[in-house]
Amino acid sequence: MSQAIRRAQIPRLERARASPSGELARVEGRRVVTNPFFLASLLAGLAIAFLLTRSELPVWGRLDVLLPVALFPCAAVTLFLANLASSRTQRDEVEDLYASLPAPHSSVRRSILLGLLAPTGAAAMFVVVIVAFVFAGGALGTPRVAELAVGPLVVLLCGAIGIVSGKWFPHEISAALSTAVVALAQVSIAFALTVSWARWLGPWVPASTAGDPAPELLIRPSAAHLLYLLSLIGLVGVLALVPRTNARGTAATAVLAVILVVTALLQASRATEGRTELVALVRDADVFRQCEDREAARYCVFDGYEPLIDHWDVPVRGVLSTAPALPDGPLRVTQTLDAAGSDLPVREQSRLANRRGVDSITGLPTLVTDTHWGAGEALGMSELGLALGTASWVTGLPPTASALSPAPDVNASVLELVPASARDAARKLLTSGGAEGCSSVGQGRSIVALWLAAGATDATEDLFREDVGSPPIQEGVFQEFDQAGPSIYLATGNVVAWGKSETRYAIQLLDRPRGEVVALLQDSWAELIDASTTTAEAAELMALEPAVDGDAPSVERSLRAGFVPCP
Amino acid sequence: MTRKAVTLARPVARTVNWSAVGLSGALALAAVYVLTRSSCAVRANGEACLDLAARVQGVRLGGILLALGAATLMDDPTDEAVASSATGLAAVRGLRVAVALPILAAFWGGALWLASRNPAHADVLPAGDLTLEVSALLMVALAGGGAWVRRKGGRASLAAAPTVLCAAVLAALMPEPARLIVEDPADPAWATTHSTWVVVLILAVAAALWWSRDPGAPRLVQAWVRGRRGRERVASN
Repeated sequence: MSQAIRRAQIPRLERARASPSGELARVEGRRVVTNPFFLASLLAGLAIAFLLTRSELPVWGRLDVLLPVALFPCAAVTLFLANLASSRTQRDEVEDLYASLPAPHSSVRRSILLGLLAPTGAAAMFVVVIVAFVFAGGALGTPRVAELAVGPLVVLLCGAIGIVSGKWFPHEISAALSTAVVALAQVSIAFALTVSWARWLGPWVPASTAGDPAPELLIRPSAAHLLYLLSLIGLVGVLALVPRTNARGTAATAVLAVILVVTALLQASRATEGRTELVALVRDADVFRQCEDREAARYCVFDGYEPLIDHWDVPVRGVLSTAPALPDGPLRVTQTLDAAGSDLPVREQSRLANRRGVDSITGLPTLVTDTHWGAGEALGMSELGLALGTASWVTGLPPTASALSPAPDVNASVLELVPASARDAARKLLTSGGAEGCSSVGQGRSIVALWLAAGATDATEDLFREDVGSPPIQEGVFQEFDQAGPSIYLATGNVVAWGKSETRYAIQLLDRPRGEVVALLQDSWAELIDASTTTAEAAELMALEPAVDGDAPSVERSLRAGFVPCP
Repeated sequence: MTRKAVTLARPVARTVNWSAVGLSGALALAAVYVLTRSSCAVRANGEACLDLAARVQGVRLGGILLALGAATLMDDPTDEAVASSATGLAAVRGLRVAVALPILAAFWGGALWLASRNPAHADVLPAGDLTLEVSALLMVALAGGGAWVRRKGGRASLAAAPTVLCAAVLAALMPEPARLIVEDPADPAWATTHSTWVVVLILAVAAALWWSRDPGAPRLVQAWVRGRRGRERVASN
């Protein structure tokens, strides 16, 4: 029977199974995915994915870029195991034995390369599981497949690099050395290179090298990068397979190298396109934002972030529903896009930084939130930040930095609160626009604001008690600010600096029945929120135990630290 | 003893894998060069373009690469052939480390020099503390390699090299009370962590010595029990 007839009689699948590379690939692949270190690396990946999602409401535009990091341990272990498999024959000095087998030695390396599909598949399954889990948790936006595919492809690339390093340097330390070199190369390319397109030469490209910008303000040529990664894998794969002296191998290497250069140029050209659209997005932000009115608040968000309104509304409603009276007009809560570290031109970034806190249409102060919102243990931080802004608005304290602008009318109202001896310093601070914030130390209304904010939700109350109840504060919404005196707290994202004695009074109020405090507020609301009512007077009005802080900073000291009295 | 060491130094040096040590040393120098270079010396505000913490991190990463090469020092292709010789295992391994030490020190010195090459960097690199860290890492690698050979046989670097990487990752992840990595030498925690590094170094040296005991020598506890019984027998007689 001729060879051709015999081949035709064997079904294709069986032929494939009969191929030594296919059979060996199955064995090699199984060896990798059942290796305890590989399984441990997947568990480590799960832990990383948990850390990435536990403290923040997941936003797909941010998470799908970060998720490949969870597969880095898996990629490192795959590199290790592929390297050890590739150099096995040389390390064990059994090359002569292998040469006596009917299958050529090159088929072993081919099978190791094919076997990498098993860990790559396991990595893809890992990604699918995480995506399903995050979806079930209510993530915002839509995941991008081209970004999510980077993780499994990095696993495949690392495996191929492991084979090449094992082939070229068949030594016991080759695996560890190449893992360290690949990790260093990834870190150097991703974080040390300052040219934006050059960062895309690494396998994984972080969202930014500085800050945590909004995904909408990033230019990510994901599809072109996927092509680049595939051609890189192809090139490394060919290097793993072909002998150095083989003419066909050299030709294939050259062709793949050209493809790699072309794809690299393609992604480089894409990485610098589209800045005009980004500038339009922030300059005409109101065109892209949708607003929704809910009772006394007006929320404006960018497309895709509408579910955040429900989250914001909880602390805001908690404050507004407790306050006996509200100022005129709705409270404005507006979403902005975090521009620091984004692909926006630097000039545009600084312009945005100066415009924060003012509604671009009405010019009125607005509470500003971004694309982040806490989850789990970090929920209280997000809620308390927004509740403090809302409570500031309710009690007449400045909710945003716009109230400290160098405008003459603002100056006049602030300067009235400053003793005559310190007026020059205060005027200088205001006109230069250098005010860090305003100090509510000694103002009775700040007790009310703090109590309203702390009592907005269960999470805000827990965090408030924890933060200001047990100084020194390491991490939280409130931070101690020593430069203005030992008795000042700064709240993240808030323009008002709070006095320690006021926070102690607020805790006293929190310890009382809520109805009792609400009744007290209703009785003396106008007096309590008057800017001229001192802390001591407000405490007396509410029959609070004295919580005098002997270290309360003077106005002069606050001014030196950049804080003017709150108008 | 010294004479014996001098006599053995040349044959021992021939069995050291110099290519691995050289390759990792060269990679370490390249990594430190890349990670500690800066496009400018001083910024307009007077600050150095590359701060001390970044340079310390660069040197640390170079140290890891160097330790990977040093992990091959426990690989002795002649260990089975010379196992029956009068020179103990610990002495032979100690000699291997001693023979390679000048080369490793030269690479390490080069790495430190590269990281502090820019005269605009006024802050002095804490060379002593960084040397302590890399020495501890190296000893951890040698201890890991020794343990592997004692339990499984074969080449020590098969375990020693991954031990270096795992130790480096673990050091970076250690939580607050047992923190091992502090980025900025100006951080008050720097001194505390380096006290911990001293402990790590001592433990690693002890472990490396423990796993370099002569395989033929009786176990310490057995030897103590045997010695005690012998003394009791002598006393009773």
